[in-house]
Amino acid sequence: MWKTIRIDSKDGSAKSEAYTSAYQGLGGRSLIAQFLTDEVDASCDPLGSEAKIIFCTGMFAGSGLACTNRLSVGAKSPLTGGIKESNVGGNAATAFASHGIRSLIIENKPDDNDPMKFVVIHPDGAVTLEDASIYQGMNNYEFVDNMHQLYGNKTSVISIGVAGERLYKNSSLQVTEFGTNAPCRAAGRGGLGSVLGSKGIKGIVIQSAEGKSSLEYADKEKFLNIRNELNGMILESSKGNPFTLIGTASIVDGVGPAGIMPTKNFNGTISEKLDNIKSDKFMELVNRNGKNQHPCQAGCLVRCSNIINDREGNFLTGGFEYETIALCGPNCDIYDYEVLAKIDRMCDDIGLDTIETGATIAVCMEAGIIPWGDAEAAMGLYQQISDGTTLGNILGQGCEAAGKHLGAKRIPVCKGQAMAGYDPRGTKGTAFTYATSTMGADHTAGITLGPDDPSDTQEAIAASKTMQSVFAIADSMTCMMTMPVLGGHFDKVSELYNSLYGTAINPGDLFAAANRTLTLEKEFNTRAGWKPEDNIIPEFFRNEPLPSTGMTFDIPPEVLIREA
Amino acid sequence: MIVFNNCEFDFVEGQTAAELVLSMYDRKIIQQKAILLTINNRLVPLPDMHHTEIRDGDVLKTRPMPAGG
Repeated sequence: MWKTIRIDSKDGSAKSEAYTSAYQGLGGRSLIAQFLTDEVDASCDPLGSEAKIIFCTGMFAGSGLACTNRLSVGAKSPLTGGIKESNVGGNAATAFASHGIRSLIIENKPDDNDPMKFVVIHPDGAVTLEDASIYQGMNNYEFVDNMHQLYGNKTSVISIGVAGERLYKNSSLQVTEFGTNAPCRAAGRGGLGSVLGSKGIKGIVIQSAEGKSSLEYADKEKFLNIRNELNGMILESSKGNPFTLIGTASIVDGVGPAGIMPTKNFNGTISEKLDNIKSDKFMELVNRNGKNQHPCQAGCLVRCSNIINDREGNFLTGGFEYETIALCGPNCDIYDYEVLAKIDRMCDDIGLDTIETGATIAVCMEAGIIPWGDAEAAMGLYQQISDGTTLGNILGQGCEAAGKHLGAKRIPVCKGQAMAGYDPRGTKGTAFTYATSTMGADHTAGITLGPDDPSDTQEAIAASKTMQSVFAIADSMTCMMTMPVLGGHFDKVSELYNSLYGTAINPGDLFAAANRTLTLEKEFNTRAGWKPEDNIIPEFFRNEPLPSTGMTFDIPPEVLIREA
Repeated sequence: MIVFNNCEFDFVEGQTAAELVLSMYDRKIIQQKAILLTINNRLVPLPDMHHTEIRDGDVLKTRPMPAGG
């Protein structure tokens, strides 16, 4: 029942293809790795005509298993120069699944002066490209408003703001959220907004299918039984889950006092203002007139998202997450939720990865461009990125490029990508992931943080490798937020897979598939030019002790190189 | 005898790591089944949980499976 939509951005054609049988059973990240391996020259210009961008749903999309309506976006990253899969919630994957679309591929490149277009998937399944010239230069919220006026308020939209149009390496793709239908969910990492921008595509509009596409099950009764059992476990687990009860902002309470949350460009000092952004303050903001426990996608039972309104009660932002709070907040010495919510809105609107951009602003502060903690000045820089000023264009190239331009000595990146909200000196296993994963400094590639996060090098490496496999499974089938439940039931997950696809896999096969995905990604990166000696944690993390613990990052460089 | 999260328990011949974890969960010794398990300070790869046998004298420790933000 699945199909692939292939769009040529040069001649404007769109065609539907039967799903390749060799890809049967793949989804999300695993499908992207296979697809890019099969169809894209890894040495290509990521913004050139040989590059492709793929959107695909996970292997359980549309099945009713909780949290499986995730959208994976993949391409060669202009930021890292390697493969990138960026995983996002929202309602686009549900809409894709309603049409039986497993993947949508955009290839080739229009001529330089061609006007932008947007893709429309109509209720009958027809796919057209429409003139987007009047929307060029428009940011995400206004573009989505226009699309809702044209195609209905319930239409799902994937789009880029001016950051993607300007081909910024820190640009995101935004996806409309379940419920609010606001473009506040981000496929943020890797600068993939610029890849869509390079194709001259402003957005993808997906109207719900006229007739719902139904899955073909090998054993439907068995599938439904296991699915319902797993959904029950996820729901039960959510009752005591801080990500449900508060949101990912709850992470601040643990990593803030521990000195693991980045502060002042990964300086690590713990500010006396930390209490301003702990969970109770977050809940004050939420409870003023918004809500938490909001599902970002249909069928989510974890519900870690939220709706933040301004003082007048108007929607301000949603999906206001820990990573945004950490990188745009304490990492810039800003401890004010009112300001941070506005910054989150700005980034979603412009189409910026909040991790990359927050890290870039902090480097600007360290370089003396603006003072530490000056929220107004910081918002001015975000605006400059949107406006495309000379400085804004530099900042849009990401933390590493901006830092080098400004002569900064401390640039917190791996493989050209800014680190997420966990200091390498405080979570050695996560740092190992930053340095060695196929995704660059990306916590979703294999975080090890939590109680008893190992400080012993060998244990940290083992934990990182295990979690890299776990997250490769998660990114292919569900949201990583379900892994604290599904991760204890890989036997049932395997049975679920078998009852859908008619296979006979076991938990070991799930991990073998995950490791195949990681191998394909690694091979792609090698062909793209990544070298073992690129596995680097910046030197200042080795030389400057973390103030809270006195720890430095101490996995020897030769060990990181050996793991390439 | 084995040591599981700093408490002593009887050794059960032929018990796998997965079976032990399930047993400890059912007895409410641990709160979730999605865990990372070390045996004698070595992490058990998750695919090996179902065929790694516990030995008398093993020291086992669990931690909840990490989840990011």
